[in-house]
Amino acid sequence: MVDPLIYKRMIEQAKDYALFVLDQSGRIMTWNAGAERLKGYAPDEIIGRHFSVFYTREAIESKWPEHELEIATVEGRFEDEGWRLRKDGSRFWANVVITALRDDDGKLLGFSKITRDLSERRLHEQALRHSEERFRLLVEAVEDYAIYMLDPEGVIASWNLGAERIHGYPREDIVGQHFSHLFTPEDIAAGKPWEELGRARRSGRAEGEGWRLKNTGARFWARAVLTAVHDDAGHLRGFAKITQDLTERRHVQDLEKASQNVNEFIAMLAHELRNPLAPIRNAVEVMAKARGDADAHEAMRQTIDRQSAQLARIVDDMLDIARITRGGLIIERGRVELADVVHRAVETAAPAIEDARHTLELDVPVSGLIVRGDRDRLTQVVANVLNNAARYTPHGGRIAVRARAEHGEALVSVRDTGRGIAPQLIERIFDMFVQGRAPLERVGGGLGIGLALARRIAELHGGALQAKSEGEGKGSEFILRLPLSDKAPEPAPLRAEQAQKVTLQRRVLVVDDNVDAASTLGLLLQSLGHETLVVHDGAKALEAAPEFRPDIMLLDIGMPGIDGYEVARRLRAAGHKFRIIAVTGWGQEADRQKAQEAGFDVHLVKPVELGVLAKALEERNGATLH
Amino acid sequence: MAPKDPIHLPLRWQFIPEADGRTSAVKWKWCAYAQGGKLQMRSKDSFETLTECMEDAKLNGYEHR
Repeated sequence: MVDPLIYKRMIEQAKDYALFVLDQSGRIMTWNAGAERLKGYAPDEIIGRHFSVFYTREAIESKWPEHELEIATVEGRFEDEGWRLRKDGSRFWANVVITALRDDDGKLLGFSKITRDLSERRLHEQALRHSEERFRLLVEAVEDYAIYMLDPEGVIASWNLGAERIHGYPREDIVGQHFSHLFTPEDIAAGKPWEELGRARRSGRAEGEGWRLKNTGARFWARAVLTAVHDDAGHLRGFAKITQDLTERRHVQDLEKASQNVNEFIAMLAHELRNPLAPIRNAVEVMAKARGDADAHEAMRQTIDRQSAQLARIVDDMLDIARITRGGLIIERGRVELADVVHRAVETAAPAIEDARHTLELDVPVSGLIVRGDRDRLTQVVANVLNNAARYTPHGGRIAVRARAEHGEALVSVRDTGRGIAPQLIERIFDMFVQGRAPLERVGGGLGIGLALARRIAELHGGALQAKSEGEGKGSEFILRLPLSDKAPEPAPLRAEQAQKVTLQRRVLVVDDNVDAASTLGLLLQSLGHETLVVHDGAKALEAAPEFRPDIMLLDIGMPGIDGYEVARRLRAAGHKFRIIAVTGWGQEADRQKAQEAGFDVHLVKPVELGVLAKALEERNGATLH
Repeated sequence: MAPKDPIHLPLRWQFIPEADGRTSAVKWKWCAYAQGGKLQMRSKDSFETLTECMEDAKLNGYEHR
């Protein structure tokens, strides 16, 4: 049995706790060293006073000390935390335990009271609480980032202002939902939300970019970081997720990429325009120096003819691109014999095939493959594929063209023994402005837009253009598929050389401010047997028309002074009924409409093919000729 | 060897560049095969250009419509 004196000394000398005894009414009966240190009273200053002296005025007014004793009396014990007063009136945060003291018969003798000073702990907790509060307010106020917490299963536990702004969900609609709500259906089907949680769980962090959803269902491009949050014991408490909306940045990147593609395209276009221009300029020089040498002149004429045709093809491609871009490519709907298309395309591509000395094989039924469509456009498709085959096949290769019917479709395949196409480029080679074949050496020039055009034309015919290749160096095969039509083809229109044979003699007034263009057109018309007069501005055209009395006026539109529209308007207003044909570089639908309203009968876009011009001169179309 | 009448059966036409061993100049010839692969006819002459070669083939049934 321990000596009671030991207990007495332990209580008296304990300094970290205020330990004292109250009588039944709450008066202080004992006082230890800890109580003196904590509360500042010496034993003779405090013994005999009521313990409410340690309480604040508010606590006394609410009779809190009495309440404490009542509870301790009834329940045997009362514990509390709250402000208490020192002798000097200063406050401290106290933990108080009051225990009822009873004798062996249960009679209440008084109370023991143990008080601890928790001010320091309280200050620390308060500082922590303030820090957390500041951090919470900071996170909640951030608008540029969605910052939110997930529980370990991925359920959203918090939601800041940025998350509301970026995803569109108000806090009350999304907290409690699984964060997969913010993913696209494809990503959900692929299990990406759970894969992301797994990665963050394993390595502490998962980071990436991808499409995310707003509450409207709209998508935005996001960069997101998911970080696992563990407690001190290392248990996973959840995840912190930060998401940034990068849609704008991606849009800017897309624009930059598009701009880069267009710049590359323009550079390539300039290069391609120079290719035919150089021999034309050379030919002109040679013709100037070899005056009287008929053979040299003829050779140079052929050079100019070939190269200007190439220039015209480039311009045609450009115009086609513009039409496709605005959805204005017009396809004639005639019945076309596919063999005719193939043979015309072979003729077009013959120079490229000949230059590269390829063996050409044709397995095409004489007749019977009839499709509904535009003969010239379909020829353009096959010629483009053939030209590519010639260009991308090393010299001395083999090109095989085969046409056949299969499952209600007409198929034209062009197979070569050339450079082939890497699998990842198979579809990209059909992209507009994207150099799908860039990894392949540019062997034969060209704008690199022909395949995009060709595929679009095939699609406008209800067909398709596909590419196949077993890989680089293993050749390629392009297959054009078109729906078969079982009715007889319509008669082919007259071709240029045939049209020339039936030309009637006309009086033609040529008006163009480009002196060279006007003069050469005048000479060309004269060579076809027409009588011509050439003038170079609108005023002279109005002056010459009544005197020259043309059957037809070939009138440029964009001219300084009185433009072509105004010339046409004034001539019509003056009662002239001769045929007015626009020959212009302006080929948009709006231009045609404007020309028609001004009084033009026909609208031709430069460069005008001879056959088309001859046909336009031949047709009357209801216009009165005098 | 070229027949007198144009052939109306669907033949497979082949246009072949051939280099002269001495001059390295290229001339073009054509051949027409039956679908089974049997040679049906071939050009009597060789031609400076593919276009000329095709024109000659046309006289013998190529592109006959």
